[in-house]
Amino acid sequence: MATPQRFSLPLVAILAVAPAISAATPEQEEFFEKQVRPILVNKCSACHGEQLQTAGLDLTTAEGFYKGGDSGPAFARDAPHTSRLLAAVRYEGLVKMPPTAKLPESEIEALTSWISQGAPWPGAKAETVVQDRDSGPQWTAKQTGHWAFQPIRPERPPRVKDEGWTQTPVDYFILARLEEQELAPAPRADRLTLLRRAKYDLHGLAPTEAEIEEFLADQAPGAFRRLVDRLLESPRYGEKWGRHWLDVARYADSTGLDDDIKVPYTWRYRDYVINAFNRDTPFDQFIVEQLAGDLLPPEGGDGVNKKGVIATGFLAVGTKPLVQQDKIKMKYDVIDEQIDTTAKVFMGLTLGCARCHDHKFDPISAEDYYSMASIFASVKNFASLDPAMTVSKVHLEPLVPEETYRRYKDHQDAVKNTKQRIASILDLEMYRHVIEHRAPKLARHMVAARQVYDDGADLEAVAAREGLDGEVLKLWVDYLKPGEDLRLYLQQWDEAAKDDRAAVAEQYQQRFRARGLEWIERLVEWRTQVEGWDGAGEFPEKPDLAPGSDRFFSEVTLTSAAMDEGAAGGDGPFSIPKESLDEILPAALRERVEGLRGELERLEKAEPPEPAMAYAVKEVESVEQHLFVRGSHNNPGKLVSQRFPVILAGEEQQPIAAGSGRLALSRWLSSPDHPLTSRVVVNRLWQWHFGQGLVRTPNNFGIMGEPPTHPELLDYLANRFAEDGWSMKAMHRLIMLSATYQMQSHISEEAWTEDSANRMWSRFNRRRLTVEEMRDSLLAIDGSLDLSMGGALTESLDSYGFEEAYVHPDETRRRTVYLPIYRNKMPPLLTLFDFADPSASIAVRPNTSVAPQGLYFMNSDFVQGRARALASRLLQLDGIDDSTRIEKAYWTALTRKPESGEVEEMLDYIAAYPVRENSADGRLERWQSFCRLLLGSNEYNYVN
Amino acid sequence: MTRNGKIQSTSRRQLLRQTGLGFAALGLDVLLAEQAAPRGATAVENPIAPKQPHFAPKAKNVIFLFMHGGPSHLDTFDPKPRLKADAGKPMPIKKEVSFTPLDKLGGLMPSPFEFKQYGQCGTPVSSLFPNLGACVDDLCVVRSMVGDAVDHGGAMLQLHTGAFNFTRPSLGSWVLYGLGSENQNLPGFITIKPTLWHGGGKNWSSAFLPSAYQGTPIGYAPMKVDDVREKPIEHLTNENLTSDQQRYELDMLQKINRRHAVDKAHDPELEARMQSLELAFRMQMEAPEALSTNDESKATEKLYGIDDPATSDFGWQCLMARRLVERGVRFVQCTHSGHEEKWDHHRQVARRHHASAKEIDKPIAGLIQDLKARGLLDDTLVMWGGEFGRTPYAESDGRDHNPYGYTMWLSGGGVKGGMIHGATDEFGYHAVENRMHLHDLHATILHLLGFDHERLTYRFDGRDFRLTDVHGTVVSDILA
Repeated sequence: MATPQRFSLPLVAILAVAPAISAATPEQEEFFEKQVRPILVNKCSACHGEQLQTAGLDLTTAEGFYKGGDSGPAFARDAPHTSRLLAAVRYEGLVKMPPTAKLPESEIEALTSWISQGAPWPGAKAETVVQDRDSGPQWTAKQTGHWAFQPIRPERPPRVKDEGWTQTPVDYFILARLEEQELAPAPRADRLTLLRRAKYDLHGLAPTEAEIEEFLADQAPGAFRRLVDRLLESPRYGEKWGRHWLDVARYADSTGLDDDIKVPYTWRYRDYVINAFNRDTPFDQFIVEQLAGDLLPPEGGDGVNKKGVIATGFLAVGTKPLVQQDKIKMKYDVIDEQIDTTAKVFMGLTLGCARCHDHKFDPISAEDYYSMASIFASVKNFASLDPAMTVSKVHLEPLVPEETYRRYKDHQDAVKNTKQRIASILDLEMYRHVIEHRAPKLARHMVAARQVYDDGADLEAVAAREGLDGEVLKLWVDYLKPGEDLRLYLQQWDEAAKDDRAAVAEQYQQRFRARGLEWIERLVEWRTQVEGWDGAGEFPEKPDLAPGSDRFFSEVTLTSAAMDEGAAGGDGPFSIPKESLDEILPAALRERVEGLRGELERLEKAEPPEPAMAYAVKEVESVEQHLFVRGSHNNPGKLVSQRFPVILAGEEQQPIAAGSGRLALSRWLSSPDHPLTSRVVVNRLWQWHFGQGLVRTPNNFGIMGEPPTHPELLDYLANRFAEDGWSMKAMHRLIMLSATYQMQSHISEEAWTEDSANRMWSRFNRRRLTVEEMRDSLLAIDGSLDLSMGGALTESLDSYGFEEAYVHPDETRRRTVYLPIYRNKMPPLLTLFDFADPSASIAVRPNTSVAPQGLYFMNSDFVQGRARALASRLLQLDGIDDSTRIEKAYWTALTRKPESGEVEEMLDYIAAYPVRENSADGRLERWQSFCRLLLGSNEYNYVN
Repeated sequence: MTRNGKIQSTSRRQLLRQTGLGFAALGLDVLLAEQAAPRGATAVENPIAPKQPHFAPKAKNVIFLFMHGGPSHLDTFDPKPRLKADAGKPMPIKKEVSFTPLDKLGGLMPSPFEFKQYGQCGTPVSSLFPNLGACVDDLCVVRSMVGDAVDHGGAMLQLHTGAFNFTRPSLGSWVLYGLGSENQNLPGFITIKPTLWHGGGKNWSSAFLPSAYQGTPIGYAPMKVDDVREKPIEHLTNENLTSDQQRYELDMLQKINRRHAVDKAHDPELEARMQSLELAFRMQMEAPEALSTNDESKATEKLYGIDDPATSDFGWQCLMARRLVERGVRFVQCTHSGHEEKWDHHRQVARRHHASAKEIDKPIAGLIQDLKARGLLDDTLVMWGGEFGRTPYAESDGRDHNPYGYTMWLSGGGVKGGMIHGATDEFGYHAVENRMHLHDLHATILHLLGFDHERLTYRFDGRDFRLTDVHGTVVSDILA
């Protein structure tokens, strides 16, 4: 990797000085005032005026006009006919102005004539110059010298006075500062507190009775180390720590934003993450896999790198505005999301801020941003960017060899086409039948129906007299009878005088027949195409009934539901129900349909298994990427090359040779020399153990972020992490076995006064249970937590589409990490208890205490049910007294035995509980209340 | 600390009266005041306690009547004779990005509805809204709304949060963050029967603002009011326990919590959680009264159309909005939607607009009259509109989406009544006069509530965010 070069940016702004403007002659002045200025004022100034300078352009002053906008001068002095302003008003380029409608020719001519004269602006100061705005950004020493952009330093643990306190190198860094500040570290926490802390920390669950016994029985030195080892070996560890990662990776099962479409197979990425933690996948590899796993050599024999492909779900699972109609903008919004997330997650950099302009605070230019964009621009995120697809589809990647997938797709097509073949026969025959046999009686039905609904005649009698089928007539009565609905196409009929009814009905019948014949013609054409299809190219598309062109015709022949899809059959008064369609078929056709149905059945039986798929990205050919001025793809600026931000990778970067550069990016990020990645990762690790990071803005190591509380410790950990082979588990041991981790959470008077925010780490941070910990341990309290791992919680997460995949947390006993996450329909339980908003990378979850949380504890079915379960379990224990029951409950819920007085207090509480008079089981009610107390208490809900 | 000083100098009774709460909400403040908070301590504050805006506000509350789907301005508040004259002809101006592919779109389509001038101001309203027409002297009809998204989800997100391609806090969350709530026994931002699609929860989410500012839904769009009435807010009531039992239990819970808190001294979070439990108990005692309409008179129910099946659902939503605003809830949204959007008429615009309009005409007119009669309209801003308008040209026998120029109206809360602001072109396609972008609407709403929209900010990931991002101009022409 090139050595980062700092302070060497060629950042001198270049002001190309153009000749001064010559003064306008009186004729030119008059021309300008009469012909030109009115255009500029009336057509341009609303967006390019004093108040608003869209794209940096002001067309109301000479200075503004000559200066030009963000994408350059509006007026080319040396070659006026090439001026951007002219191209824009002529609608020649991408920028078309005014955007609402093209100017009249006369106005375009006036502007052309004025510009070709050198664009003289009356009263313009002679020294006004046309400026070349192509100047690079200028960074200050404060920006380039910012700590996070400097190489990681080889730090050694400092000297401390009280060597005896330290247990791992971490402690030296912490203690040295505490000694300097004359602040005493908190005493070591007791064993049970440490057990509960470690268990929640690594598993997100309370210690079980067996675990308590095992730990208390181990009195030999190193018991806590052995506990940590045991906890790290359990698959529960990956479920807890994988979820940390899923917070920053903004994991969800839907696309979010506009239509929040459910995406299948997302869970494969979630399971990959959980497994990666459980297997202690080296973190550098974890980075490479998530950004470019699809480009790594395959592991299995079938040539598909399944794990690698699934891992790139990291890029895929972000939000996607699938219904945005400007599909190019949609593409770049997703690229932006990926750049922003990748930069925040791995580098703690808010690179996304440089999309529209150079970063306001950090030394990152828009060119840096678009150089990264050029890497992501060749990633396939969508099935297609076809603007005709109102709702775009995401790309899903098969996890099987290409031929297997092709066979499957071909089979799918064959099924679809066979269904269409059947439809091409049934649709045509239905309409033929309607027009031949029913249309001639349409007017009679209308008149007869009116006699029923308007004149009050008896339906059966009218049907008999007119020789009409009573059931069909009934349908006509229901259809024609006026209601609240406004049906303008029936207005003529509704308003027809009694004497005119027959004549008006006849008109309806004529129109109906004409429309019918026209439609039949199109269906005949379609069937001919279908019959003649030779298997090459697209299957002939069904014609569009366009019901809006004749509502009466469509409603009479179809159900309202089927109408806009143009499918045959339904309950319109003259439609033929699907199940009766066969009856009207001529014998030969019936045979043909039977044959096709048989074929369909055979096809469906022979369906190959659905290939495993992943929500992942794919490499496609690289694109030429321009810098987009002000972030707009309609305003492309200079061409950029694929490279990394200059402040980190230096001026002299080797060009990225082949492909998108994703692999190069991932290797650059995971290099031990990278000044940010390992710092950012170990900071997260520290934060996930201690509640806060050494840098308390874990997604922002830039100038607006907070500096580290212990920069030396941060660098020490970063180096150590890389030296230990990027092993998370090694870091857990280093941190958890430290005296720093094992301090009490008790806040001494001194610590509270001197360091209430605990920036010196003189104590452990008490924390509330996360919502996952709360729900999972409440389920575990009577052993009913379902510990099966992985997979989709509902089948519908294995298919693409709009149908619901929402699972209410009360409907499953699986761990919370396995609940499907709908971005726009979050289970209220999760949002209520500060779950990470999955629409953005969340480094620190919010921490709120609000009344609805209290309501949840008091009134939710879930908490009440859990308390009942615990109470029932206690009461079912035979041969023990109530005091022992209380003691058991304390152990189970609080990992401790009751202190003196507590048992008596609770016995009194239970005895005096105001049981309802008609209570079926007073004893259970009392004990349930006692259990609710324990589960609702602060002690239960906090980890010390 | 100044905070403690403030609490101590405010008498307990004064505070009770000002905020309308009992001991519960006081709990924490008193506890904090009793402990000498050390320097550097992060005091835990009630995030929805009432707060002062930047300057004297015109409006204290907002009611947003949201018409899901995008009602056609051309068939409601913006008559265009040119469409009749040129019916069926192609629109002679270039079409912007459309939702429906261009080859499926037809010629100009006149409105099937007649317009009539109403009131002293003579604002024209179509035959869809006879009752609302009678209220025009209180309405400021903005005919020049502009948004950027042509799809429902994007447009709804921009309308509700200011951004269509990023996740941002919603308008109601910003308002609650800025002003807090005057009633601690009810959520400060309530959305009645919102839709779960087209942005769904994002339309009332607090995004990166603390979740205390997110909207609380009462029911969801396809639900019938009768199913909502029973349990308007989740977990608000307990069917198994009496309040005596709950009080008995809570007293013991707080006893052990207090003991625990003393043992674990100096942890404001523990106190905050104790407070939230008290507050919850209080809320479940008080909120059901606010959320029940049993004490409303027959005359009031009739005014809102609750006696008619066609209008009873939206009538209940409007009546609930008034009850909540009356009780100090800061931001109330009523969504008019169903199994599908009520106003998205790509087909059969005449028939379907007619049906949808009937459901809301009387209830909204009733709301405005009622607010006015109770003196609430002066400081309550009522807004009406969809996520966009519709096109002058046909799609089948309906109209496509049009965010380039459409109508919303505002009423009360410091806005001029009886006026029309802005105009679309002669076809009603683009806003051409006094264009009011959604950012400008947001800036203006915040202004009415007493905020400089550029200064109501929240820092997240190292950046100060605001509702209007880098845009927005207060539209002073419509201020009373």
